[in-house]
Amino acid sequence: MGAEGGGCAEAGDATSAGGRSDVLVGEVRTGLLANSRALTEPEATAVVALRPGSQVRVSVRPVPHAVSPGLTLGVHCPVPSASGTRCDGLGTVLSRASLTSGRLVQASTHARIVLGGRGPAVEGHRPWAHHLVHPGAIEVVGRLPADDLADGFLLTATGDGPGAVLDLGAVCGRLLDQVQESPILDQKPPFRARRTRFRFVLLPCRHTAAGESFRDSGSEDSGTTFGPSPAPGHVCRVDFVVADETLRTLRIHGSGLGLVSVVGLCEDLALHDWLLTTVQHVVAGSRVRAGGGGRLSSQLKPVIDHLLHVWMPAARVGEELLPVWAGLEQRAGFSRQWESLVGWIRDQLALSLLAGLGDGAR
Amino acid sequence: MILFATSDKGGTGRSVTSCNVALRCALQHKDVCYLDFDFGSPTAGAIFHVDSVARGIAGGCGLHSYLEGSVAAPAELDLWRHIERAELQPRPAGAGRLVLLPGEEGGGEFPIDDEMIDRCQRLLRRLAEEFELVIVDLSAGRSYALQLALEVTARPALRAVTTRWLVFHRWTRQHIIAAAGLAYGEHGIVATAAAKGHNHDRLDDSVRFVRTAVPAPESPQFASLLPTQAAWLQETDAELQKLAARRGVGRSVLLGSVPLDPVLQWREQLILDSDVWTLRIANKETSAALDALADDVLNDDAWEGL
Repeated sequence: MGAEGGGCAEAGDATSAGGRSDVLVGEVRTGLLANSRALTEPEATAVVALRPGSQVRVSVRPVPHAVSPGLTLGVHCPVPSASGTRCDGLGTVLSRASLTSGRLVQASTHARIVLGGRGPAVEGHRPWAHHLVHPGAIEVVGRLPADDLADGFLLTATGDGPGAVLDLGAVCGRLLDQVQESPILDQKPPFRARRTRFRFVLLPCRHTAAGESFRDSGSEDSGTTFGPSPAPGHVCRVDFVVADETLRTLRIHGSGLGLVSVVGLCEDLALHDWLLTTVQHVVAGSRVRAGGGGRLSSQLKPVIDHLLHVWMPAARVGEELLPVWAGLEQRAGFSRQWESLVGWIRDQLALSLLAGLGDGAR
Repeated sequence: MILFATSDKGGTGRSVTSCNVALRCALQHKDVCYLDFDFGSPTAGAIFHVDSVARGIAGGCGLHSYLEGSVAAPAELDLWRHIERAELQPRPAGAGRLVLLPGEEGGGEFPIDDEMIDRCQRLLRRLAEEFELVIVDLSAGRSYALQLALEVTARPALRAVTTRWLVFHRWTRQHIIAAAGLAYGEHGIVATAAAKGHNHDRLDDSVRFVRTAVPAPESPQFASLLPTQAAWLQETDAELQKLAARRGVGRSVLLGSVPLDPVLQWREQLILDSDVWTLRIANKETSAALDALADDVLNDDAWEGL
């Protein structure tokens, strides 16, 4: 299993060799910025300027978005495995932080795990210089099936228990903390919101992919791919699971997909999932508390002020990955649920307005 | 808001009162988090009726391990899933989150270092971001936990977060003197804080007192007292009031008082409505006092300086 479909995650990688498979693993954590109002563009840029001398990437359409430069962290520890197989990984992970609409903060950490790149005979470690020229790649010594790694990564509880294996969530959480501690922020968020954790893996295509798969014809002939990949990128299968209150997992099987665009997709999905989760939580709370008389629950106001306009699905998603969004819209119904929540909030607003007018007439 | 619960002496009912306040705030739709910083004897698990962590959590994933740096994040227990009391299952509709960060089984007090302060600051800031109320139950006296709390709150990242201090003391002569000493005495909270860079007046304003196990002479508990005993009780109470005022822990800095109640004293447990009305083991005055305390903890007016 581990030796199939070589070099899938980054087909353009020159070091691709036969009998090797790459698995992209990553985690995105999303939260509300610890500030009383939305940051302006210069403020947002300053908050994510995490590496001196490196540029912050800023875009203003369709929503303001600032991304920190990539941060590299060296790791040398066992990689996760569902079966408990212990295989050491050596390399680096890449992280970045981003601010959306000056209001939402995300940190994402990912690594391309190279399985079976070197035979077990090569026991000596390569010098760090080798790993530093391949930022975001971890080489694993020993045999580890890709699925075993993916299951281990997606399902292991991290953060609780002495961290014996690679814990991208910890790296990511730490980065999010670092951004939130920025002296520019006043530490007075307009309401409290939970952070969510979004874990993702990108695996090589399985040719015997069973179950529902949406091999989208539209994007296959578009030919727009990132990097010099030989074949147009395509997605064979996507599994999105809401694992618990804060953990979501996404497993993509695909080939010829650009690594950067997959990470971008996951950040976008995590952002919208956070919006849904947070607004849903507030709405659920104010439904229980509904005081009647058409009064607008005080919890809804900050949501209207700060969140409703941020919803811009697939704003920064490459074309070859749009089918993933389309598939999730169809099954998980992100936008449908969002529209229903927004509709409910607007109805409450209308009711409170009517009640206010009635009071005035009396 | 981060609320530090402290007391000069042990056995004041600090933990049991704080746990009850945490529960009541969560029932009033607030998201609440409780940190057991009583490193020497973590008991919050037992008070919250979570048997699995009754004396702290096992397996090296609690607050000690986090502060020492051996885990990336301390274990967080969703209490609505773990409280073993039928009345609180399933999670009451509209209740906020209620999360316990347990201490560790077999843990002890430990000296603090700079890295520990960094970790503690990072944790508290994150929790303050996610929760409306973060209660930190400190060990009694001038402990390492208290030092850590004062050190951490002086850091720039936490200075912007509202932090408040509750000093619990029993309604006795010794306890009043001890509580006043802990707050305002030499090496007390206010003095130590000023030395660590806190703003003296702001910190002074953020300290309030809670009297525990206060005998209420007018309550039915004391209905059978002899007239001489009743008179003595009144007189002692008046004397203690005077003493408290003299020591600077009088009514102006009082946040609440919790009456003497066997359920709190002997069982150290959560007091639910069923304990008052169905089982009739707890007094309704106790429940009302805890409710008032929970209200005042979150009410900014109660913390306004005079």
